[in-house]
Amino acid sequence: MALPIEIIEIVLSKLSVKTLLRFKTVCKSWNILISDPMFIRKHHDRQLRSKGSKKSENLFLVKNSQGFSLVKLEKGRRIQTLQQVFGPYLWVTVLCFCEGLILICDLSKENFALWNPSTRTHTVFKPTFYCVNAAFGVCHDPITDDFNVVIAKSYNYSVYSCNNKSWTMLEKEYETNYWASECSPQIVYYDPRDDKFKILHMPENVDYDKSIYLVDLSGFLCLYYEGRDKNTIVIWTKEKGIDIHSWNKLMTIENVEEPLRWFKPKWLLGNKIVIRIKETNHSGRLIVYSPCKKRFQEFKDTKMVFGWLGFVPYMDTLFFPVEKSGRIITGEFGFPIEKSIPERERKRKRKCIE
Amino acid sequence: MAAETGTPTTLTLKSNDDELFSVAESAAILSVTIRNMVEDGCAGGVIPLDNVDGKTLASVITYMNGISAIPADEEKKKSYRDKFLSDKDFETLADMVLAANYLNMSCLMDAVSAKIAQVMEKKSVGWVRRKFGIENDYTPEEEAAVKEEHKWTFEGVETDDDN
Repeated sequence: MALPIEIIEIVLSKLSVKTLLRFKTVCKSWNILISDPMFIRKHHDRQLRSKGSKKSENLFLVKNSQGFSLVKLEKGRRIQTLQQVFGPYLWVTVLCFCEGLILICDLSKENFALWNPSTRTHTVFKPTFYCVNAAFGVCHDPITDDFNVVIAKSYNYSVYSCNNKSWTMLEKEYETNYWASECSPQIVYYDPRDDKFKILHMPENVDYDKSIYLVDLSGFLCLYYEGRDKNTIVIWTKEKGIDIHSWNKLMTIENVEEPLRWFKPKWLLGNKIVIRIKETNHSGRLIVYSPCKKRFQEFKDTKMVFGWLGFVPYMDTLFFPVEKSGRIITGEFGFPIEKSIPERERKRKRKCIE
Repeated sequence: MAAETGTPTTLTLKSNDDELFSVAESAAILSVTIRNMVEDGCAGGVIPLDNVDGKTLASVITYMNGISAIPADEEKKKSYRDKFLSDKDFETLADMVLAANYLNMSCLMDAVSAKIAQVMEKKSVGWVRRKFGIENDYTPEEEAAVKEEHKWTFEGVETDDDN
């Protein structure tokens, strides 16, 4: 049965990444279609849309001693392990994630990789500077279709363009840490359109004496802090996107027994919230809180699974930085750091920035 | 139209192999193609549907009647669609996706294309070529190279002999 290519495209956009990569072998035109950035974008957007819906599969990667396990949160607070996934390095630290891509580094903290676990591909890079005590971010620039890795330190930040394979070092205008700072909190974000850090307005009525925490919660930016006493936590969410500045109060959690810093919202499961509670550096457990019933319930057998750090939402996507020559990113205070700059001069420039 | 007279209006649809079908207008206008004809006043006589055969049209009409009998409850509609498509083979699904596309019925189009994708999910490259009537235009070397690049995706694929 010969179907027209428009219909084939609709059908293919509903397949999993594994099947799509296999079907590149069917014929040349299918290979071209499946490799097409427009198709990849459509497939990706479909996955993003299904993420918040009931169809969402609640898949996560959990770090273990061999790499990662792909796990599924199931009904009855069970965790099913689906398969083992191997990353680019044996021992990794997960730094951050963005739309299915995960930024990781090896134990030396000198080798970095942006990894897509669903295509099992990655791109590696090395920062040209010291990364201790830095904050990390990954963002997708919708205009150039580039992925930018942002490494922010106290006074400057560096942006790595995956398309151009080059670094840009820029000076911070705000003396804040990336995302949230501990005292007199404010939230800053990186805008890939002009390579600048900007202040994100916080919800009204936030007590400015309290520490705030920021995490990704089912694709939303999530802000939480201590409520009227030590046992309550107030959670706000904001849709991602530079131009959306409105916060929604998600819920107030009561009767919290653990200190706030051990508490990490991870995922929305219908109207409930999945939270990881840290116990020590190497152990923790997973609980689900229902704001209607004001009740905590623990996931079964999570002690074993969550003895390790790293619990990252998994998204089936073909998304990956497309290699192409494009603009070289330079900022107002920045310059591209490339191999062509002599070592001595590079050191001098770095010194004047640091 | 129907609302004014109080009696349901019936349309007559004609397949490309000259079979005639009667269907309530309220169900038929799930198809945007048919709705446009009705709104333009071209639905007085027989509506010819040149791209749909009788067997497929009968099936589409069963769907139109079934889904429009369900009140606005997305869960129930979804389970009706799942049941409706559950026993259809690949060839029938392919005919239906073409019909849904021609008739411009987005809900059927979504459901059938998702069903086809579900059927394809664990199938081999050979199965796809046969079912879609696709000629392999790779040289053996090229095919081996593409396959090698994504070797792991060939694990856990259904064996080829299941038609």
